[in-house]
Amino acid sequence: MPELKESTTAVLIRGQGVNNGYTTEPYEVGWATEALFFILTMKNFVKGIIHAQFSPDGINWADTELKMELPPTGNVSFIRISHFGNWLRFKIEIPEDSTVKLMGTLHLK
Amino acid sequence: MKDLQKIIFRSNPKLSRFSPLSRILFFDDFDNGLNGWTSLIGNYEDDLDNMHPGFRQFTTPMLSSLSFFDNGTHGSFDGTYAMKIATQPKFGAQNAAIKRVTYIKPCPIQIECFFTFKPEASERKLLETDLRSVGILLDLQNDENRIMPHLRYLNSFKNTRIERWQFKEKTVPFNRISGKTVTHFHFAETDWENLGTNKQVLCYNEIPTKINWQYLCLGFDLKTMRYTHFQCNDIFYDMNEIGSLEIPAMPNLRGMLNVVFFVESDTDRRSCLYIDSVIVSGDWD
Repeated sequence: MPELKESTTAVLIRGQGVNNGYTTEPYEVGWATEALFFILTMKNFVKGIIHAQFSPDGINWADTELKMELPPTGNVSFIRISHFGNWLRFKIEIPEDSTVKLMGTLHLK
Repeated sequence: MKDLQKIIFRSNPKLSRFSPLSRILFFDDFDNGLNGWTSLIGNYEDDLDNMHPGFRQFTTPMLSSLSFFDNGTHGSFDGTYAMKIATQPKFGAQNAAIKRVTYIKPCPIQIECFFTFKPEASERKLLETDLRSVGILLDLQNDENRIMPHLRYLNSFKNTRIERWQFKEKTVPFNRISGKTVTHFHFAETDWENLGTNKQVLCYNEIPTKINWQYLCLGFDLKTMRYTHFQCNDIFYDMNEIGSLEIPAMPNLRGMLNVVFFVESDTDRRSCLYIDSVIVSGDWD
């Protein structure tokens, strides 16, 4: 019997409205070798960017070159990530005074 | 447990530190993944916004190597990974992880685990009053009732160190979501009562980046739906007079055996509960 690879899906944004500068809660990913972060825009689409951020300790965070545009309402976009160390989180940049309702899921294996 | 079984069990280094009943329902070592432990999502219909806000704050548990800024990876009890349940950085924030199974026979069961807890090490202080509590609860249903034993270790409350195990047995009112769906937030900061008369000092080990694993053992009889025993490290508690939340059986939960671990923060900083491994055993032939 081959040993199967561990995989898991973590819900980082569970259908809530988020504002400019919102960051997801830190997620420990040291055991994984690859990650996909999906964003589904559920309501109130605005133009914006989602950045992946890395951290050495879960406290201090650095921007990466990994980013995507928010998809229109009802659509899904994703970022592929590798070589991420032990921590991941995502930062939302949208116009000030706007709120967009998102579902954000992190898929690791 | 029979003699031969005991010898075999105790010769296994992974299992020897546990004292299970005769059958293992599950043994989860988080070096092998999350093993079916997941976020405790609240009930809702039509829109996630209809979920009780107490449940909405709950997030997915993670596999942690207990790595810290000042000392690198701490690792788990007997490997690298433990299950981590972390609150959001907010006073009173809570989080929980659950494993959902059903029972095979109404018999005595026992839950044992090795756990530890710490606040996020985001300030160069001891932070020993930052984490409010860690706890365990069961969610059970037989033909008559839904029974929910709740226990927590109240580490601190509003910046005062308490260090007491507590239980909860007062039923929580239900909120109706729709004709078919109800919710009740049994994690609320109400109705906790002290267990026993003494505090129990657990090894906190000073700074937030030093970890010592603690042992917990909870016994419950699924026939009588009463506690049988409770132990944390070397301290045993008298559970004879201790009850659980009890409500009339709900329509579609018969046979439910859910095990839940939870953590609460007492400051605007993340509080974390780590579980190295958990074994749930029962006494049936």
